[in-house]
Amino acid sequence: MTEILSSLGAGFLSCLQPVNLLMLFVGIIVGLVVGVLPGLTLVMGVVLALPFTYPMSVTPAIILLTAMYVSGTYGGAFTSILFRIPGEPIHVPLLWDGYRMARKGYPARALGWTLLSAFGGGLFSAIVMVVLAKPVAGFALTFSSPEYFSIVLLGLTSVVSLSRGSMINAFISLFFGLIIATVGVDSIYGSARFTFDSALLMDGIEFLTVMVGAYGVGEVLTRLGEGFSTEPIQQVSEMNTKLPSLKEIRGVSGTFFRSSLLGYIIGVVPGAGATVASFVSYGIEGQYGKKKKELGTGIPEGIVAPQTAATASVGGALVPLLTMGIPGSGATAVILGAFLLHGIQPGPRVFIESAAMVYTIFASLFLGIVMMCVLGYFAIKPLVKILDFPESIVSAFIMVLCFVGAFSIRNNITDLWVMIAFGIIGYLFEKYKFPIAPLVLGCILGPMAENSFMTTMISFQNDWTIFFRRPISGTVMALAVIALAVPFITHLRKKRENG
Amino acid sequence: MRNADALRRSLPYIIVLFASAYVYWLSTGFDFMARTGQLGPDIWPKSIIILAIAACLYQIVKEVLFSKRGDANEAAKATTSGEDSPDIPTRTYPGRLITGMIMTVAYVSLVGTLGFVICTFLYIGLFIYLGRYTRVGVILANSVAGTLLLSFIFMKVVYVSLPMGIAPFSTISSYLLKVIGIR
Repeated sequence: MTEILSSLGAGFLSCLQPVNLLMLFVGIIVGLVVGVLPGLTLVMGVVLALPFTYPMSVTPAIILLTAMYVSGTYGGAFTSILFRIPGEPIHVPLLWDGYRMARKGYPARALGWTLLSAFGGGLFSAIVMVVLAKPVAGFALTFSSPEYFSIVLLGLTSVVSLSRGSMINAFISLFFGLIIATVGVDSIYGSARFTFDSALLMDGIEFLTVMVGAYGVGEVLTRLGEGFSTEPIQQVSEMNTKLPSLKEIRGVSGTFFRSSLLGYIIGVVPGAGATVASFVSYGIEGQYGKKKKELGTGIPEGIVAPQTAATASVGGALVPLLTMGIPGSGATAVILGAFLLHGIQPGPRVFIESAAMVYTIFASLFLGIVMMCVLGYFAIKPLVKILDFPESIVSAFIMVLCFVGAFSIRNNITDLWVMIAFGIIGYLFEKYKFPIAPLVLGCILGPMAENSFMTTMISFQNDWTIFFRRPISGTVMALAVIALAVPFITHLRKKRENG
Repeated sequence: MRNADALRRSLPYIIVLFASAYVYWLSTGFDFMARTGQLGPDIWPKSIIILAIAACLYQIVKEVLFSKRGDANEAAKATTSGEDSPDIPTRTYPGRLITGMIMTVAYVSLVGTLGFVICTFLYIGLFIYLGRYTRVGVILANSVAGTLLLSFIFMKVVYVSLPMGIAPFSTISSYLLKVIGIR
């Protein structure tokens, strides 16, 4: 513990270096702006920021992206509460109680609860992340290929079971992503797969290009098809933040701890991000909360539950990324890309080889949460003013940033064609209700899944029961089966109840 | 009518099914040398494709044989009818969408010839107009300032080697870049 604290102290000192501090500040502001703008999602914002990190060294680059990630979970709350415009899907649950509280004449109180929740949830997850990351990394060092395969499989099944809408669509999206990941020369036999004799495809399809296309171009095309029509902004009398009293905070302490823990755990699960955390936490509050019958009428619990969980998921999502190289969400997938572009493979060894960098990133999360709340407290007015900016102008710039982002990964125009193809696929997915997250996660985790599967098969003479016979991989495989079975059983039960 | 409805709902899955079958056929032609008893590089993609085909078949059979008429519409209504759910725009603009897609394809086709600066200037201006914003002065200001700012950031600060185009467009790009301090 002393070692962790001293490393964290050194991380804080490193974080205070001008370049790191500047990136932290920029990341927080950009993340808040991204959160406020309805046409720009959090993952899209982090993807678009990636090319700006190329000339930086790895630490400020990761600090910038992580800061955007954490503040993006908070920025959209302002517009959700004040104008009923959720900047992010994360903030849809805030419409049910946050907006209602504002409509009752207490917008400052609603914003105060949001700020407190983001601060508390963020801080909680940052502390747990620091305490758990090193032991988890040490534990991960004992893993062999069957364990890695089972963990990746758990991630893939979780993203399917947590997708809203049809599970079959989620499966098809996932399989599509996994096939995309097989394009190129395979690492074991050197055999060219689905390359069509194209030199560029020999190197495979970059998952970042897929992300830029599916999230960036796809989303802009969807909005263009809707004519960039956003509801006109209402006039709001009060645009301040009023923090709750200690007595009021004590009244929701149960909700706060439950949501923090839930958000953190959901963050750790690969494939589930802040949006899932926010919805699940609100749902749990509706089922088990002290004031479950009043939920939806504008009570603090309805604000605390989703916002705390959303921000707490950030620290959780960083743990599998840093300790095993497995991204827990779309945004952490981009952060993984940034690591790889800078020549660093996250995983258990990163705590041995680049401990100083890891603890600087940890420290930046603490500072970032404080900075985010201070900025959120004082800068609401200019932030929500951004909504006056015409969406068509913002979208035109997003498209150009997508072009540059995809081009700059390999300095090749062919990647732009790949990006457009995935942009159109992203649009079609959106239109026909196929979730995009499984596709992207399939692309990212596909190579890891295949490599660990093939290595296991070679090492254990094609004995597939090995995945179930080893204690860790067997347990994780069982969890993967449960992850798939639970929504299926719930669906069947609901169907039976409805006759 | 019911069959037509089911077919319309099954169409995405039928397309994916055929695409999967084609990809499976491709995967049978991988060139590799594996030892006897060892799995080849085709096993992983083939397994995934078979799962994808199974998922599509399941959904098609479900739609054609078991789904009631209007099920999909009802489900869609149920998920969007909440009083406080974010507003779902009812009006769509397919013409603008297709134009946007064509413009995007044109950008990628022409960026090597016209260069980043000229292509981006045209794209930003046209895209803003396409997005139903009509104040020409603002559009022009955004196109010019945006293009120069992005060129400066990416070529001078981030050092991305963006396409300059071919003559005579490369000469124009070079001149404009010189104006903002990029050689």
